[in-house]
Amino acid sequence: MKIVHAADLHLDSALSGLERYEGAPVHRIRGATRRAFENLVALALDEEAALVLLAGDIYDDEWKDYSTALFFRRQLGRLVEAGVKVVWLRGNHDAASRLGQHLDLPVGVVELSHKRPVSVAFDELGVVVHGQGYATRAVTENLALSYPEPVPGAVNVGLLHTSVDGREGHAPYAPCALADLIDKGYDYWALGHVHTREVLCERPWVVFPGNLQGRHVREPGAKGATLIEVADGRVVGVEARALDVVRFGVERVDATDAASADEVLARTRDALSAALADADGRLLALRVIVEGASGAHGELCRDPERFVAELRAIASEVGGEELWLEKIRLATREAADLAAMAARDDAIGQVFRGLAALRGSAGGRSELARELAQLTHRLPASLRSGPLALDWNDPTGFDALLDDVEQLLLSRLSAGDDA
Amino acid sequence: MRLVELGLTRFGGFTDARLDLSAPGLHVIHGRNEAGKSTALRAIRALFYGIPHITSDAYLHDELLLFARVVGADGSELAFQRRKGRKNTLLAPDGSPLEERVLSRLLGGVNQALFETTFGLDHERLRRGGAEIAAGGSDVGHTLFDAGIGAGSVKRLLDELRREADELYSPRTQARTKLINAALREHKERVELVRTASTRPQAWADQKKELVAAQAALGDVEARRSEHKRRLAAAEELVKVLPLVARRDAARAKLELVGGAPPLPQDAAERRIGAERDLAATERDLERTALELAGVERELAELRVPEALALLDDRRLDALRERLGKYRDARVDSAKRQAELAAAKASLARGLAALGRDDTEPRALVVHRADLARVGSLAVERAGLEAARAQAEARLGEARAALAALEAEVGLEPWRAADPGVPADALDRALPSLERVDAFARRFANGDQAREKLEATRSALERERATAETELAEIALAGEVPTEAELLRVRQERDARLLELRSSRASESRVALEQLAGIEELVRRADEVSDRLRREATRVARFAALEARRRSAAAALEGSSASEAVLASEAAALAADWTQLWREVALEPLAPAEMRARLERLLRAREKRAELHTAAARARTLVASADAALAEAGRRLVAWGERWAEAVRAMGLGPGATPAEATEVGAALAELATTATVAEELRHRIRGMEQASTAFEAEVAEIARRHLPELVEAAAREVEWAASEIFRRHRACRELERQVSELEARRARAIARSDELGARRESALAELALLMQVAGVTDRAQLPDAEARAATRAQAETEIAALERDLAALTGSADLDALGARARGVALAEARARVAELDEELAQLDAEHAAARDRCGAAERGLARYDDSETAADAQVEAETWLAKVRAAAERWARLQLGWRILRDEVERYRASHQAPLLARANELFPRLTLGEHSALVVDHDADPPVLCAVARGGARVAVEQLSDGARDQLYLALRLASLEHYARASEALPVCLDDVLVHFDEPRTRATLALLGEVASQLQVLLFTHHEHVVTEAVKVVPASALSVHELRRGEPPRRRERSELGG
Repeated sequence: MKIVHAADLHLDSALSGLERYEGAPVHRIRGATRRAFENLVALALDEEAALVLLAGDIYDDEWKDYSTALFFRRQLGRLVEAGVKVVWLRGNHDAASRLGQHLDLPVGVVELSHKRPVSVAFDELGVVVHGQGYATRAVTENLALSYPEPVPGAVNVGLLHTSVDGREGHAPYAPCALADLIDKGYDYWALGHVHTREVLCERPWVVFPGNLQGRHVREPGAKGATLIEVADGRVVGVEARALDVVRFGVERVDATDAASADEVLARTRDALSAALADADGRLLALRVIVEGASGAHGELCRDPERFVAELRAIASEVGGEELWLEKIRLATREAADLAAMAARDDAIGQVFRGLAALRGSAGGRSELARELAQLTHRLPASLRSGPLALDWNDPTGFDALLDDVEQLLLSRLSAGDDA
Repeated sequence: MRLVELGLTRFGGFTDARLDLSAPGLHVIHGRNEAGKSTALRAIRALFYGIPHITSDAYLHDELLLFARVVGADGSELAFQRRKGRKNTLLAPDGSPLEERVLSRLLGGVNQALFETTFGLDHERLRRGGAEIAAGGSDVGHTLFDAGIGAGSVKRLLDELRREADELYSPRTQARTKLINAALREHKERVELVRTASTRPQAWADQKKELVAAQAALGDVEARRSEHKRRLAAAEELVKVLPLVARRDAARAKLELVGGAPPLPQDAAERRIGAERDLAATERDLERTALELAGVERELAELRVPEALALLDDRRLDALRERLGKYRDARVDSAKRQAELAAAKASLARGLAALGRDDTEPRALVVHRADLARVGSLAVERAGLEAARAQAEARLGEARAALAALEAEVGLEPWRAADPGVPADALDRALPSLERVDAFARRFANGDQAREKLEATRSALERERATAETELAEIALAGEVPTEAELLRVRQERDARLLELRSSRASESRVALEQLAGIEELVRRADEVSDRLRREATRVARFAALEARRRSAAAALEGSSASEAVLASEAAALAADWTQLWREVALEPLAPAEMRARLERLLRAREKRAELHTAAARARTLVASADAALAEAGRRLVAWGERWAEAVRAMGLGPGATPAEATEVGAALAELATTATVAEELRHRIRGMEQASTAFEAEVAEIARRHLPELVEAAAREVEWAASEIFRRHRACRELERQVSELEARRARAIARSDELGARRESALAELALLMQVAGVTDRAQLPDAEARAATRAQAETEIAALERDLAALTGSADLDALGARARGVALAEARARVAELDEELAQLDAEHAAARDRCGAAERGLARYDDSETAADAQVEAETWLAKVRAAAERWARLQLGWRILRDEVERYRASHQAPLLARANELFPRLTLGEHSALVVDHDADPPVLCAVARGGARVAVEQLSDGARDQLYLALRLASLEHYARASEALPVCLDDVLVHFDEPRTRATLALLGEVASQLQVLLFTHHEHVVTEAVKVVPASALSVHELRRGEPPRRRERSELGG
């Protein structure tokens, strides 16, 4: 018998950070989370799974289109029609979302209560699923402690939306210790909430399947569900299955010792080909970071747009519609000694000293911030605060911006008339 | 930092070239075009920052290598090498890698680009620098800044940054073409689309609630409507039922009128009429049949058949009729046969008399045909036997004659006559075969041939030897011919002597001297022979060739003698064999051809003799066989005579009778025998006919006696007539019998018909009785009335049943009486009015139902609109892509915007802090460079921004853009030199490389500039590259010797420092 365990569907949560450009395969990123969930349904049907477990965060709390809920219902309908049982519970996003309300899910789909821990026994499968959903967005008590005792003779599965003992980038909801889970005596803990796949323990199994579809570059690599195989009343196999349709990744190109932008481009082309080969035909959304102390630095900094345009052309050539350069970051360094430059009593030294002075002066910084305000106040809120906010909104980001300005000025000033 | 030594180890066209730049002061590096000036400049750059991967300096050397020794401002010295490559290109003098920072510490934070722009200057850059000051509106800040970097125009850079930032974004809301503005707008549109395309959960819930309500309302109206329909149906049913109930009541009344009339079968009347008709017809036929029967009986009574005659068998009469014919024929034939018998008897008597045997019984005369045939064949056989004997005699004679002839021929011997030397018994001896003789002939011929050939070869060789000897003699006459052999010999002798001399170890003795003299002689002779061999090479060669030919011919001749002896012995052996061959036959052996002819003759004679012997044997056999045949013929003739005697005795002839006699007697006897046989047959036939006639008459008499007694008498008299009468009467009797039987058949048929009619009559009567019984009447006349009443009853009952069926079908109810009771009180019009009323109400309900259904459909459609559409989600995805675009562009914009802002501010700060010292120094330099044409540089603070002006000799202010190109060059040079000097005071300066900067300067200004450079060189290391000799000349004139070094670069030569003595001045 097989069980599919997934979590964090975040249906219709849009993929972010994919900068639009001429020829970008926008149509390939539409509906990615839905396609991934359809893949999950197909997996359950193909593998003739008896049970599908969804450990919360079906919806994205910020998303308000009810069509998403109707889509969810229709897909569950496919499973139920094929005789597959579905058990799910609400995660923090679902608790905050209104999408789940009013929705009458198909008969055969079981939602675990968010009021108290419950057990659902599937006698014909010999499986008991225990769990409790989120009543509110922020659940801070340790739900696992009050989960029911295991049923002897059955395969006991705990369904729980939790951060366990804390995971970077994830709110510490329903916190618990791994030991709490192990001590419960279940056979398998089907967790949700953390978007990176992680097997915390194998005896018993404690598994974060990760989310179904990476949504931005901070969720890189293969995404999907966990396929559990049960035989003779115990878990005999746990296997990750990739179900994502768009894959995020970061490719670092070492430009050290590259003498020219062309050489950097050639190296990047090789890196892109290699990355593409690993994406298994999915759309690869790749962030390219060019780094290292490089003789090509000046050339790159003087006209980064040209480099970006050329790189995009190469990406189109190498990957066609299979590749989207999410972002291209030029992080090369000048071989020259910037401190020594700043020490010089000449025009160049003046500029560097000026920049150094600005960094250290609150007044100078705020003046520059005012200079930027003419754009900042026009930007959408999501670029002013939150994960997508522009870097210069915080001091570190602002310093980085000044670094970039410094490199820009140095390269342009050095280039003289030849640029 | 000063470059004190530059080593071009392997670079460009240089190999292991060194430039010593250690001397203080100005270094002028002179070289003509292509001498390597530019190479040296590139080498300095490459030393500090690396050799480019793509370089024009690798045409001579594969592994480029440079060397340098530098001294920092702090006095520290560094020697290093630079190789071409990607990593570890900086090396210590011993080749070990050096870290770049060891060098970069001395470079003072100057990167390659800045080194080229700040510390390098050529005439083009000089000209461009001047022009840019003018083009930039002489903004003091910009000008000082540009002169400080030497790279280009900071004004242009500021404009560039401004422009690039503006292209990305404009704060004006209506700006549409700016990338960020446009992307923001796109983003906003998508966000709006997300909002409008999204379904609110509440909206969906409301719609669902409405659907539930609409479905409930629909259910309610449907329930009411179906109840109403039920009522309407009942009313409509009543309207249909009422007429039927009325008709049913009427039918029932009619039924009561006919009361308890017994029911009759439907066809009762028909059956009654049929039965009455049958009865009448049957009675008529019965009367007719009785009359016919009476007639037949009468006819039968009248007919009488004679009984005796009737008993007469028809077959007996048929036989009698046949015998009557034969009886009539026999009476005619009998007379004719009696006459033929008498004639035969007479003929027989005549034949016997002719043979003289009239006494003999004709039967005894008959001779058997076999005996006659035997006599005939014996006569023929006799002739054959006699012919055979004659033939045998003839053959014997012939055979004897032939034998005699052959025996005579054997005695002759013709072969001996032709060759008398042949012995008589030669033919009986063993003669050799012809093939063997032929083989001997060939061997004789071969031997002859071989001898001839050998003879020919010998004479040819002898001729050859003679020729060679003659020519050799001729050559010998011309003098002795030297030979290799002679040379060898003389030399061997010489060498032997020398060996001897050496071994004697007495070289100083006299003997030795003599020996030496001898050896000398031998050396001389050997040389002479050798010389001659060379000189007379042709002759020597010819001589040697001839000698070789002569020797070869002699050797060949010796060989041929041996062959000759072999041939002779072979011939003798052959002759002996030949003689031996013929000894056996005792013939003298002649030549093979003759012996072959002789042998052929003998062989032919032996063959002929054998043939003759064979023929004689055959002839003797023939004589013997002819003899035997003759004897056999005689024996056969004797045997024939015995058989003949026996045969003729049967005919009454003696053995001496001839075959002809015997044949004739036999023929006569045969004829008589035939006649006797004919007479016998005739007698027999006549007797048969008489017996048949008697039997016929007896039969007729018998028949008459038994069956027709009245004809007995006539039969005895007129048998033929009596027979005919019998036949006639018998026929009449048979006719009577036929008539009687026919009448009897008719009588039987009439009786059967009468029986059948009787039965039919009974049947009709029974039918009528039955009908009367069913109808309950006693009289047939009462039947029609009963029938009418029964029909009326049946009709009424049928009608009632049909109506009840219809009613049951209409109402679906079995209880028709209750229905009738219900309907009876209601009027049809009343019922119709009720239906109309209900119809009207139903229409109202239908409308209500349609409205409820519409509401339900609308609610369903409304809910269906909320599908799992991706429109909003897609719009959100698009919004995110635009957002990301805005983000990326905003970052770029921020860099450009801040870059612009900071640069602008720093240029101004630079001006503020550097204007005074730089202008002060430039004010010293510029007048000197312009030879006083311009006295000073001033800042016009009235302008905004402040601008730089020159003060002309007369004190007038001249704007930079109004200065001549040369003056601008000098202005820019003054500012650059001032900046460099200023820089060098506080920071680690690098060598200043000037590349033919003085191209556009006239001689006085060149001098002035060189003098200035000489001064500047006390603070900065100045390397002036030029390919103009006059620059060198002028430098020597104006720069003190202690502050000037001149280096000469020539193509293909190592660089050389010109000594002071060479510089003159």
